[in-house]
Amino acid sequence: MTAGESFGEIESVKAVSDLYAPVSGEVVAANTDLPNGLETLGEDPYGKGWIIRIQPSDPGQLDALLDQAAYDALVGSQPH
Amino acid sequence: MSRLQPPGGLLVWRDQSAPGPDNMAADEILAGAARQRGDALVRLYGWEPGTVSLGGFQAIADAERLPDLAGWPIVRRPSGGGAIVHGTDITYCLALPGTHPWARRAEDLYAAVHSALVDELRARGVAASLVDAATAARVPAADFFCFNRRAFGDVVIAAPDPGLPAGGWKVLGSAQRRLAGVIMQHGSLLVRRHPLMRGSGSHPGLADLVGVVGDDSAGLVEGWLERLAVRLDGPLGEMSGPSWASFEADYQRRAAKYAGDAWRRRR
Repeated sequence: MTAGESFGEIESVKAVSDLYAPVSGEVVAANTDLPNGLETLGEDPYGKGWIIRIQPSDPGQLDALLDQAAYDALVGSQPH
Repeated sequence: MSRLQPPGGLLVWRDQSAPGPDNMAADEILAGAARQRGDALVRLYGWEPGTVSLGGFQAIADAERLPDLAGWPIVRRPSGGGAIVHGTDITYCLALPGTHPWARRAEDLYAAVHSALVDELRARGVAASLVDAATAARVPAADFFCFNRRAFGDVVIAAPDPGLPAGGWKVLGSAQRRLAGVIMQHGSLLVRRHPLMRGSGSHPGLADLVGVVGDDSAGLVEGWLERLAVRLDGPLGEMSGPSWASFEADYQRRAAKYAGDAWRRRR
């Protein structure tokens, strides 16, 4: 898997969007229970709502990602 | 494709009726053009033969177990939502660059397009409205057919009918495919009930519900698009379709994808 490439799709409010890989690496696990309970994605996105686990090929790529607080701040700063 | 209007406003490509895979391929080319040009583009088209389109996440097995759909061509859309029986509707595909303000939230684009139709219908004396959140929450979202669902912002018409479903008769529903750099919104304006469809996939259209107004679907669509262009801060312009000589190979490749089982039966 390569950072920035689509690894799946998701539908919300009738809109189908791609899921993009945040880092390059090998997929070592997938949450196969998720398709049977998609509400978990909204209820516990940083816990039970995990999608895939990636073994990064370049851990340095993690430095370019946002944590939850930074992402919330980014979203909050944009016009609605 | 030639640019006939400056940025702002809306360019419309009035296309002919075509089979499902061809229509989906043309919409992908439209989306690519919108991304490349930075313009808001809309394609209007019909379906020949009549076709059932599935939402991108629907299981084809759910279509195949419905006896009323036996023998119908089936195509899977890239956009979400429920199944639509095409043939007596006007389908649109609106493609917006991802940088456009309406592209940020899915709901904003639904609202912009749908409220423009509601305004045009009301100007013609039709009691049209958008489905509110309370109604949307009451109607099961999982029905197979789009026109049996009531999503927030769908366009419905009130009619004095004891069989009136929750929120009124739905005449326009839309769904999206959000791609890198471009948003593609599909929608179906139901003009009349399909004469060959029975059962839960049979729905009344504008002409069935509001007679003369519904029969003037061409005028109605023109007024709708003009209102939409105004909201896009510009005129409504015409665009020709792609030059097929230059797009032919790409078009054929995309149409073959939509016709093939790898796409049709992916879910």
